[in-house]
Amino acid sequence: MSRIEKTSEKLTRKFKTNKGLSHFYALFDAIDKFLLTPDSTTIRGSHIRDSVDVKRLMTTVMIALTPSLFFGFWNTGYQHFLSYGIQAAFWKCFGFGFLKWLPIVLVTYISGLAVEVFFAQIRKEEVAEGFFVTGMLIPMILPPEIPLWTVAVATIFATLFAKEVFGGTGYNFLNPALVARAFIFFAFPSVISGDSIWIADKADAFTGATPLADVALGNISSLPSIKDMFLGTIPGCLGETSTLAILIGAALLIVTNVASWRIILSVIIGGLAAGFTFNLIGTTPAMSIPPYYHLLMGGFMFGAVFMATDPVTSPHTNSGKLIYGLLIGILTVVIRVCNKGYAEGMMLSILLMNVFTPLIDYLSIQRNINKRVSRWNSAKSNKNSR
Amino acid sequence: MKHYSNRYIFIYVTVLVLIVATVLSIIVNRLKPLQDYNKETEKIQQILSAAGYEGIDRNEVQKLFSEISDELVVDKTGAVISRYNSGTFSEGNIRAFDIDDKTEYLKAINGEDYHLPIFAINNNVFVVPVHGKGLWGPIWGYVAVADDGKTIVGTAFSHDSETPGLGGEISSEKFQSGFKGKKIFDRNNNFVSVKVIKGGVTNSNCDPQYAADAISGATSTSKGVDDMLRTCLELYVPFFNNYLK
Amino acid sequence: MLLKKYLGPLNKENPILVQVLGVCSALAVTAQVKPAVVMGISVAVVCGFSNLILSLLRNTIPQRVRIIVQLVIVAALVIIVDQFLKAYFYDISKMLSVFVSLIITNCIVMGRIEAFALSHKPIPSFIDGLANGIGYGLVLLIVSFFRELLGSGTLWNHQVIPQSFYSNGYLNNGLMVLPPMALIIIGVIIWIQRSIHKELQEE
Repeated sequence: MSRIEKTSEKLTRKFKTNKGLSHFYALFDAIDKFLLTPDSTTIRGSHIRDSVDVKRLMTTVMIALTPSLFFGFWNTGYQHFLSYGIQAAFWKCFGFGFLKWLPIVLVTYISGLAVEVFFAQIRKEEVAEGFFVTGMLIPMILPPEIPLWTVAVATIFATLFAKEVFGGTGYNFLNPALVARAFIFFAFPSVISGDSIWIADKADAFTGATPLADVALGNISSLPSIKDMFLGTIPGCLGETSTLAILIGAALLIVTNVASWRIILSVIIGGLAAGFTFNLIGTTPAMSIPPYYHLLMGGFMFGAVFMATDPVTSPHTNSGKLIYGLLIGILTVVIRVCNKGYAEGMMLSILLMNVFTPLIDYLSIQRNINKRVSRWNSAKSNKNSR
Repeated sequence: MKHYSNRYIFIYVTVLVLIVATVLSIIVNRLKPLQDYNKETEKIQQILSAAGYEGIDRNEVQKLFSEISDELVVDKTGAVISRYNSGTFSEGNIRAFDIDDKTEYLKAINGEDYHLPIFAINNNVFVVPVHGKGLWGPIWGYVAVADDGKTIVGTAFSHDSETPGLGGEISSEKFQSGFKGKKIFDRNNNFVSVKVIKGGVTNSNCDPQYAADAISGATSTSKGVDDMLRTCLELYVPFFNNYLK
Repeated sequence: MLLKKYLGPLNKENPILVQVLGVCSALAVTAQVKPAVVMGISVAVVCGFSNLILSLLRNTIPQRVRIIVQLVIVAALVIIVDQFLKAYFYDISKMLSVFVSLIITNCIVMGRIEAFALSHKPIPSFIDGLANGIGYGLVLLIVSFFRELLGSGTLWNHQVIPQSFYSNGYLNNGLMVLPPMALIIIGVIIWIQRSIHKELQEE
């Protein structure tokens, strides 16, 4: 056995037995598992050996997030300098964005992990890795100028009430990253709405409205070009702006079967269908936006690929996934078009559908059972009548 | 369990209800004057607040009001058809206090005849009621105009269900101070109302004399205030014209 | 002893935390401390006196109209309280608006009448009603304390969080002013209570 494994075993024993250190066993175990592999082996029953465990799932998602993340770094800097009228060099923009992101992500991880470790200690369990992705997602769906203390409060709230209270990783009934954002949205609305917060340190004279904010007011003419919205060179949250980067990540997730293509596809179709229906009604300017615009604006694609596909809060049955996705897409567009108070509909519709997930699963399974029962009955009656 | 006859039940319930009804009527009757007084006081407090009289003791409010204010009622041509002060009518017979501005506004829209209430404070400030729609519910208030017919002395805005911290800020001192000193008629005495500018008056190319800052992040409510001022103050233009120089 | 029995509703038999009654109004009126306290007192008064009156009448009420008689008495009391508030505490009655009238739908009132007043003597019934109302009021006090402090920075309408906090970027938590947060706070109180009194935990 390698030196590293020997050391890990020695330390594990020490943490388990030593009176003082045993209080920190959960924390040690989390770091140990993260760096190496879990050391538990199965005892009984038949198992399928698969190389994908929770840790690898999380890692895949992290990798899929990196195109959006890196683009976000660059874009944050680019928008900042643009507001002053400067076209800055690539690395200058990238560095600026990275430095803006760093404090936010640190605060997120520290506050979230504090809650997780606390609960793991109390329950005398081990820290699950679920928070790593959440901690990555939260900074990507918040505006760059968000005050750090609000991030901490929101993350603690989300981890505590949307996750730990219900049992921890795998038991949450709402997407914790979205709960954090929703908390900030309802608790401190002034830091997450309006025009001035979507560009980091922007020059005062520059109006920094995102395309969605424009739609909510009915300013259709000032929307950016499709190319800009697809590439993502528009103001907005770190991870949401570049549809292209998100799609690259989506490809990875679909190929590795970590995210369900059914959900992603049905969200898109739902959104397009609702957008198209509104075009037909067309009474307000917001209704006449071409359907594919909705895909490019705001957090639609980001939500569809990274939030809606969270395996814990989405339905397990295939038909359930399709219904879930469709409803999310439709609801998002409906909220965006019909309600001036909620410019970003994606967050709210995903949260709402999270609540419906058990019901959707139940209905899918019931339908399946009923179909099989009727099949059985008709087979039986066929046999009898022969 | 004792079995009660139907007759007993009927009589029992009837007596019970009669007693309860009597007790309630007596109590409500005794308390009604106080309740009406409270409602009136609240309205007066808002009117005085628009004219700049803040934080008056509740018991002094009505006294102060009757001392310093005249209640005027004007018709749609701006002519004063009724004047009331401290219990006496010097003209006409309608009290501005009793007029519901929303009903009159609807009459105006339908092309019917209408009366408008005006509260003249110290005979040099005219306070008029306004109402409109916010993002989530109704917004309303009072606007106090100086005796030059065009300068706003103060405002008192209220709301029902706007978001606290966003739309709810229309009742804050900060937002309302942006209206003090603004004019609703331009240099050529055309009615322009006071616009509520998104992004701030200083960043726009609007003349700051006729504009106030909107609330950042509360665009719809701010627009609601803009509409409210324009549509309601417009009805008072004939009256204010009498005072414009 | 008698007194110990009546302390029950304040803690281990608290109507909101343990019997889970009357939660609705607890969410609506607790945005500030002042209306919450007034509401608590109103419920205690209504509960106490309706218990008293119905206990006095308990041997005369025909079974068939039992609920109706209860409703009439409680409704009358609620109207009296409502009118009284509108006359003497107008500002607070505006904040409480319909929730005073809704006291009649508060399960605590009818619940205690059925469970206690109809089968006990008047004075104990009166005290039981009061105690339950006060237990309810206590929870309202705690919830409204946090909601007003964190949601508006004030307590009893006096600015408590200093202006310097705000100048440094502190913001009032708007979610505290909304009812869902009240539910979460009540949940946390129940959580704490059950951790301390383990016998309250259901299996």
